[in-house]
Amino acid sequence: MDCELFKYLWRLGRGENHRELGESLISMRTHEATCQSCGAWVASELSVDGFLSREIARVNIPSGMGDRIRKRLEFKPIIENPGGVIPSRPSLSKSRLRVGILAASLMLLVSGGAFYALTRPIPVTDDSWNLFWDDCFAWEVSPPDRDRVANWFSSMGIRTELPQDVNYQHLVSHGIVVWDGRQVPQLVFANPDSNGGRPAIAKVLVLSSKQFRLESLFPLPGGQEGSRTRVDFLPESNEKSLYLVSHAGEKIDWLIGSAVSASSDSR
Amino acid sequence: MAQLVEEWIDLHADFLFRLAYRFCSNAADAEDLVQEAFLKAKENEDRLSNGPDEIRAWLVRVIRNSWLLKLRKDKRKRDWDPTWVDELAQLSPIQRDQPDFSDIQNHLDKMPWAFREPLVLHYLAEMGYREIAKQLDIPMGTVMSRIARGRSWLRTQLGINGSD
Ligand SMILES: [Zn+2]
Repeated sequence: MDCELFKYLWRLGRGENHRELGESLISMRTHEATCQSCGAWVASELSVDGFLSREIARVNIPSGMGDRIRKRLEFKPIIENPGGVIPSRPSLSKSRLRVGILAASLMLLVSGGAFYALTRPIPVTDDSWNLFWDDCFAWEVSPPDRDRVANWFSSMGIRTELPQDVNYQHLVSHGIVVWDGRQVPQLVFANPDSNGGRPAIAKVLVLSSKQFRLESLFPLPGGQEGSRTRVDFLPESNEKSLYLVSHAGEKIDWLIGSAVSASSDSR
Repeated sequence: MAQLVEEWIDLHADFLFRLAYRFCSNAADAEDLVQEAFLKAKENEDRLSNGPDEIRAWLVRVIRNSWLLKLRKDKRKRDWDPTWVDELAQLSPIQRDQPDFSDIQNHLDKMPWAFREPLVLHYLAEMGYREIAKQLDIPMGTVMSRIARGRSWLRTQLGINGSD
C-alpha cells in the first residue's frame, strides 16, 4: 500500500469505522506503523477532528431553556374538532355546481400547469449537485477506472456495458450525449504523449442494440475532405454493444492494446 | 410531569439544542425544535423505555424529521444557494492570515444540506458512519465521502493547516 492510497482510505474510514474497510485495514495498520510520514499525518488529522468536534459543539445554551421545555410540556395538547360537531353536508345542487366549477378549473390547471411544469426553470437539486461533486472528488483522489465510470452511468439511470479493453488511465471525461433522441454514454480519452506533440483525443460512444439497429451504422463513414478525423469501432464490439471511436490519428494503440482500423475494413 | 421525561430533559436537552442550532442556525427555531421533540417524547413515553442511547437516537431522529419538514414547507431554503458558487470558486487552498473560528456556523450554513447533515451528526452527535447511514437512509460509502469532503472544505474555509 502506498501513502496516497493509505491517506485516501484513512480519510474515508476515519476513527472507529476503519473496520468498515475490511481487508484493507490490516495493510493500513501496517503502513501506519511503518511509514513515519503517514504516522505524523494521522496524528495531525486526528487533531483536526478533535478541533472540529469542539468547535461544532460550541453552541451557547440559552438560559432557562430547561424550564421553558417543562412549562410547555405541562400544557394539554390541543384536541382537534373539540365539540365533536360534524360539519353539515352541502345540498345536492350546490355540490353539483361545485363539481362543475372544480372540473373546469382542473382542466385549466392541468393544461396550463403541464405546460408550465415542462418548461419552467427548475432549482438544482441536492441530488444532481451531489452526483456532480461525488464525481469531481473521485477524479481528484484516484485515476479513473471502469467500475467507477460504470457506477456513474448507472447512478444517472443509464444501463450500459462499457468497453473492457481500453486504457482507462487515459480517460479525461465521461458523460451522456444524445443520438437520435436516445441518451448515449460517451467516453473521451486523451494521450498527452502522442507523437505529434499535441495530445491525441479519442471519443468513444457506447451504442446499444437495445437503442439502435446497430447494423444500420455500416458501412462506417470514411474521413471528411481536409479532416484527419476517422471513425472506427473497438475490436471488442459485439452484437449487443458497438463501441464507436472517433479520433484524428492513424493509430489508437495508446487507447487499446491492438487497434483495429474498422473503417478501412468495412469499406 | 412524568419522571422519565424529566430525566431525558436533564440528559439530552443541551445536546439537542446544539444539534438543532447547527441544523437551522437560529436559536429561536432550535429551541422550538427541542421543545417539540420533548413534547413528542412525552406523548410516547410509555413506548420509549429503552436505554439513554436509544432515547437520544430517537430524539435526534425527531429533531431531524421536524427540521426537514420545516425546510420542505419553507422551500426557499432548499433551493440553490448562489453564495455557494462563490465559495466553490475559492476552493483552491487560500491561506487566511488568522483562522476565524467564531464563524463556523457561517461556513456550515453555506454547505449544502446533504454534506452538512452527516458532518454535524458525525462530529456533534458522535455518530458512526453505519449509524448515520441508517438514520439518513443512504449508503455508507456516500456517508463516508460526504463527511470527508465536507470536512476538507470546512478545513480550507477555516484555514486549518494540515499536512496533506
Ligand atoms: Zn505512508
